[in-house]
Amino acid sequence: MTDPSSIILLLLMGIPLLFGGVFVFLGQTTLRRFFYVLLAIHSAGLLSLLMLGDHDFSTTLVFFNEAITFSITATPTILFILCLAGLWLLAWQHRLPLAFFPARVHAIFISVALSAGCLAFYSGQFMMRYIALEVVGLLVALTAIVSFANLIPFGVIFLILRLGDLSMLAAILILYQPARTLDINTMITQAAQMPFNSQAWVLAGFLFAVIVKVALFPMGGWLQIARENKQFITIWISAILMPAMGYYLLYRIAPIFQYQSVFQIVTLVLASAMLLAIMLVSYLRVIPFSPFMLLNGVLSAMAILLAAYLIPDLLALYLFIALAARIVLLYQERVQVSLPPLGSALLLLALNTAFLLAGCQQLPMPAIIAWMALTVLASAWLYLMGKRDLTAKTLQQVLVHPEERLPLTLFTYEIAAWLYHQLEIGVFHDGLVKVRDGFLQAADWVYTNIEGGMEKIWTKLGSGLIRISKSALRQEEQVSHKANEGIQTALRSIDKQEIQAAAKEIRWDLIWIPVVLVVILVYLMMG
Amino acid sequence: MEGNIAVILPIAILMGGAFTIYVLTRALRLSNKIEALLAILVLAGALAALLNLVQPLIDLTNINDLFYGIRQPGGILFYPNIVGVYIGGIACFICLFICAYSGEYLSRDPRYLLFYPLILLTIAGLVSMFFAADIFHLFLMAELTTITGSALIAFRFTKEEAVKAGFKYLVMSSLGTMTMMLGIYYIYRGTGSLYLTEIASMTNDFTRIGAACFLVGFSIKAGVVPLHTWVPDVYHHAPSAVSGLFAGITSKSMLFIMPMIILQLGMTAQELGLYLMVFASFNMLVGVIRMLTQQQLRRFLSYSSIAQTGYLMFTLGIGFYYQLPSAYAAGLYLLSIIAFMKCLAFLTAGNYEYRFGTGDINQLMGANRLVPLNAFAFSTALAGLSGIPLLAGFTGKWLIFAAALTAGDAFAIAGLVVFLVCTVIGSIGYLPMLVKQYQRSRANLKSLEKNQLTVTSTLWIGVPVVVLTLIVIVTGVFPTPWINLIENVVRLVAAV
Amino acid sequence: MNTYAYLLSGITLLPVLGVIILILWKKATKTQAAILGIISESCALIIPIILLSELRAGRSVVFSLPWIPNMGISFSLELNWLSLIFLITEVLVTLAAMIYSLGDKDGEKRSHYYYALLLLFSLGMSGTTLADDVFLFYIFWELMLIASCLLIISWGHGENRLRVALKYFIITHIGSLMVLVCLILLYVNFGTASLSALTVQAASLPAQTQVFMIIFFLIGFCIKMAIFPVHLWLPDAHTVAPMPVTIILAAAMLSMGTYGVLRFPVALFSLEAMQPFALWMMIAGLISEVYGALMALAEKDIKRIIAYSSVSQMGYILFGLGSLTHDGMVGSIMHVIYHAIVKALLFMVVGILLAAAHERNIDKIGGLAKKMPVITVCAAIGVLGISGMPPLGIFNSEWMIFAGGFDSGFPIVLTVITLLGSILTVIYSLRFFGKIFFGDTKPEKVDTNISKALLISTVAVTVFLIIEGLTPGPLLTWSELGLVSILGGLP
Repeated sequence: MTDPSSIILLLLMGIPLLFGGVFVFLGQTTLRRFFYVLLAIHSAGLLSLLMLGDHDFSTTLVFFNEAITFSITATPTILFILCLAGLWLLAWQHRLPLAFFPARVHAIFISVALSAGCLAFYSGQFMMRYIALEVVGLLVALTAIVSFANLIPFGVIFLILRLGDLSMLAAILILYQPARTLDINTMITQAAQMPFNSQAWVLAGFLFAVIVKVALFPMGGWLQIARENKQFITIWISAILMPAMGYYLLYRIAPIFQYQSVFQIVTLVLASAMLLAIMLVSYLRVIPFSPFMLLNGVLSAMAILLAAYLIPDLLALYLFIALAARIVLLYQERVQVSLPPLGSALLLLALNTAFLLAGCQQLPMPAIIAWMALTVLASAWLYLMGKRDLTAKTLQQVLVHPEERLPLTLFTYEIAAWLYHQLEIGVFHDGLVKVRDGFLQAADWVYTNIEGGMEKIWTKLGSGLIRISKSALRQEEQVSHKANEGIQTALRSIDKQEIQAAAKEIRWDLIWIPVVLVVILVYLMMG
Repeated sequence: MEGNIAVILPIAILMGGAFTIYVLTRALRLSNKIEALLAILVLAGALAALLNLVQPLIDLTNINDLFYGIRQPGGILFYPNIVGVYIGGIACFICLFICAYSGEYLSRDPRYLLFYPLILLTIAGLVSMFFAADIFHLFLMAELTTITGSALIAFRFTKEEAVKAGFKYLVMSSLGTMTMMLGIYYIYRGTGSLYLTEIASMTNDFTRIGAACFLVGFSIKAGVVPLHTWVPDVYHHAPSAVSGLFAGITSKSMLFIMPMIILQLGMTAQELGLYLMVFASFNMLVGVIRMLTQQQLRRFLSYSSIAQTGYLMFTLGIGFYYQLPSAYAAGLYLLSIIAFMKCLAFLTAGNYEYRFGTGDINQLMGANRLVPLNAFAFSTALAGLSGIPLLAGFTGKWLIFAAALTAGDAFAIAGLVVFLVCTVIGSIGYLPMLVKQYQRSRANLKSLEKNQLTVTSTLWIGVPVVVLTLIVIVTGVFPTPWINLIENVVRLVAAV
Repeated sequence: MNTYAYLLSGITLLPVLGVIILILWKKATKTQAAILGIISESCALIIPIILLSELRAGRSVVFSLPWIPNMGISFSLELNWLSLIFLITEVLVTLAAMIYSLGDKDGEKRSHYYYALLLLFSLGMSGTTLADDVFLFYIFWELMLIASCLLIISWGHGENRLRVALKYFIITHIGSLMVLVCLILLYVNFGTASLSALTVQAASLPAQTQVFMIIFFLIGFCIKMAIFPVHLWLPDAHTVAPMPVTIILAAAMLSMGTYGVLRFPVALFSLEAMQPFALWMMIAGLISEVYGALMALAEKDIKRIIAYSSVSQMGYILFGLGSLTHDGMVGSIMHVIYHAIVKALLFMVVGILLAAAHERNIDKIGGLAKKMPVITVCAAIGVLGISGMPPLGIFNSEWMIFAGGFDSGFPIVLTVITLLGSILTVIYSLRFFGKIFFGDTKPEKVDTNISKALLISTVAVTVFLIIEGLTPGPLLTWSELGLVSILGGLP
């Protein structure tokens, strides 16, 4: 543990937290200076980690009977350095005027994010990574709170990110079974021996988590909401850091694709579908996606496609480029410079062709075909979209103003209108609201009918029991009443008889007593 | 008359004491309290006489060695037995409290003169029934208890309902004893003898019919459903002390006399057990369901009594049907604790009526503020009856469970299920009754006060209530002595 | 018996002493009665901590006195790792509730009875965890019920509190009776009421009897845990009870059901005998989890929302227990403890909100974050805690429960549904937090003058929650040791 890289890493985790604590007490100007110092330290630390090379070490801290390990390699370091470059860019962009400088809270968020980022990128244990991802997710959600007006932006972001994390948790826990350890490398290699069913669940879980974290359509809603506050520097956490963590997750789980060939085919189809969906959706102007979201979606989908065929170095390189593109796009958006359509299309075409050439020996034919086809399609789409002025005109508006139509459309707009109405129902952004309402409606229905029903049954049982009791008592009372009447009558008649008998002077009705006695006496004497 | 006079001594003390007290009080114009004191002395003497019989019974080798009476046909004969001594002892013990209580309760009633003799005669009749060795004598003593019982019930003869209740009891009980008489006819016809020991060796169809008649007769006296209709009215309108006596000991003891007689008349233990278990379910259900909505304290307790009879019948039924001595022991234990708890309940309910002139719990809400000790005692009795742990009733419940589960087969389990259901429904009844005493009253309770009597204001009421409460609590926390005692009793019974 | 054994008896006897003093001390003010109660309860906390050294040395502490020898019943108490965990949790929650009650408006009248009953309630729970004799166990079990019923009837809110208490009593009593039948069946079969002896011998019962007993034990204890569909008693009882009682009911008493499941069917019979029931337990847990969360979502009364959340969390616990795996069962035990703390915190927050806004309907409260910042932070931590946010406690136990579910051998989809069902917890807790603390400020008049006792207890519990979450190590070790003590080894 005395290795310099371990010390540097632990410092990189601890120092931002320290700074975060200090930020609480500082004034605005001092805050800015300290913030730059923190960024500088962090950057320096990361660069030195890169230069010191790969290193694994474990700490004395224990998580659930397993030592917490760290694994320093080049890929996450480069990713993190890129993220930090993005942060520097944003910070530099904010240098004037002062009003735009991060408020105290946002500075603290970024410090915590830096620390969590270290944990996420370098942790050798899956659970630690999960924890770090959850913490960053919380931070992303917190950046959405701008006022005490409502908590819904926070809620939606938190929910979507949590959903992604839960699917990742499921995958981790399924992997945990055969491996009985949380060490990432062991878990991934052990997964090769798992039955197909389990492997499928694991891959599905991780893929879904990646899709959520890189904000790929259709799970990009959270980033849309977070970007409403894009004027703040904390957009870095949502737009850069979280996707970077998603990219790294993709990189680490990529070996799983290799275990079954069907996984690769399914991923191919899935990635293609997502790409086509993005292109279709933006082409039809169904959702006013920004170029940032669209292009990042395209690049992320292609990264997934590449991951399915696992050429680790190529994949890493592609991820670096995707992340760099993300930073560039973010910056471009903020300085409000639009992309040159032809240039960007040709760049994409060149990039993907280069990657194809570099890895074509290892890629199977279907993959190569798909890659090229999608690349061409994406480049064409990029060009067309660049040509059109990307205002937030909806499909309806274009239908009403035919002069706004794009070239080469033929009858596509009519089809588009039909598709639009279908998609409108399925579009995630609105769909989330519908799902939420659906949940609330389901909850209300269950409450009224099941819970209310059980309560009614209980009350009916109780009142039924009481009714039985009362009717039983009434029955007895009736019987008792009748008996009482009978007794009354009997008593009265006895009284009457008594009075009558008492009125007589000699009680001739009692003559039978001496007669009977005489009879008995006679009988006894004779017997 | 030959035999050991110790056998007849308890009965003689009770009967003789009854007459003596009456004569003395009449002649010397003694007050209620002094007569109560005399009655207590007599009861203490009877208790001592009963305890005196214990050692001879333990040493007994042949049943014919210990007796009293005329050994010739047609003569009266007493054979003591340990169960009779035990239950008689409990009865005398309870009566001590009842007499003490009545020492104050009847102060304003000019007819107190007859009360104590009647109580003593009832107990004498009860003990005699246990010691009866011939069925005619049994019948006579049953008649005695009927008559004294009716007189006691109708004690407040100025109240129309009391007279009606007494009349009802007289009619129904007489029906019972008449049925017994019919039974005697059949038995005599079948065997030519009236002595139980002789009949037991000569059982035939006639004796079995007689057994059935006796079964019906005892069932009426015990209050077995559907012959229970006298119970609510009687316990409601009789003086509280009398209700306590009846509910606590007299009616329930019939369930113990019954097997002693009937099993010697040719009915098998299985048949008796079956009868008891089946009718126990009816008792439990009827008692508990009708108890639910009852707002009148003493009527509530009367239905609770019917249910308790059911519990007792269930336990005894298991004991006979499955030949389990532990169940019989459980039955004896249950009898003892029910006696204490019911007596306490009726005495404290009587206190409420005496003080506030009403037995309606809705009008007695908040009584805790005015009569805290009485409310506590009543709550203890109710809690004990519903089987709350650490009070006497819970150990009884535990023993019933144990008996049923030891038997183990479907029939016993079915009965146990009914028992469980009735316990739960019973709690629905007991809990509100208990709680309402402590709730804030809507009406002004003070305005209902007729006299300022409290548990603490007079020893005559205070001592019985406090002692009974302590017994209920102590028996719950430390039941060991009682259980030891009962186990010894059962061992002696089994030996015979 | 050595001094440790006598100390052990002190856990039950010292509160009794406190109860007796309180009953007799009629003139006590609320504060005086509360302080006496707190002192009594603290003794019940200090003693187990002293006895921890004995446990660490590998010896369990036993106190035994013959009670009813001819029935084979003795007054036996035993402290082992499992009872220790539940005991300490229960005592801590009671202490927190008692400190909270100082600032609460309930219990002003007849305070001495109020605190005496609270002590009895806690005694019932301590006794349940410590009892080594089935007769004694049942007595303490019923004592919990009786004390809480009396508390609800006398100091509860609302006109229908007698009816609610009756419902609570009856439903729980039915469960207790089912447990009693099994206990007596054990007693009758082996002639002894000693739980230690029974634990060794019970596996020799015929298979049919074992099945019957497992079913009855499970149903009886699930009623106490408020699993759907026998959870009916919980929402109403939590709503009408005075706040400290609600806190103890939700946080500590529900865990007694879990303790019962562990101490009886799991400990008495082998895991193989329990295997046929594993799937049912897991499904029941899943249904309960989803149902409770849905109900929390549909509810408008803030107290009831948290009450239903208890139903949901108990579903997790039953799911974990049902998996019959090491991770699942250890996770369940830890979840019990974590849930206790979080639930106590949430109810304390609700109590403060009720005191401040005098309003129970969630639609009529809002925007309180500005007026009550400290409580907002506490509530935020509570909400994050119950949503399973690391590093707060429930995350630790939840992932172990899910791991147990995956390890159980049943279809993966079952655990996946349970896992995804936890998103409902996030939804309703966020709705709860968002509607109350964000949005327009309503009602107009909010009394922000919160009593110190309320504030201190709430903040203390919050801090404890954070610390507990950051250091799961000791609890994990204790839970494993607890499991070892009942199973003889780890599954």
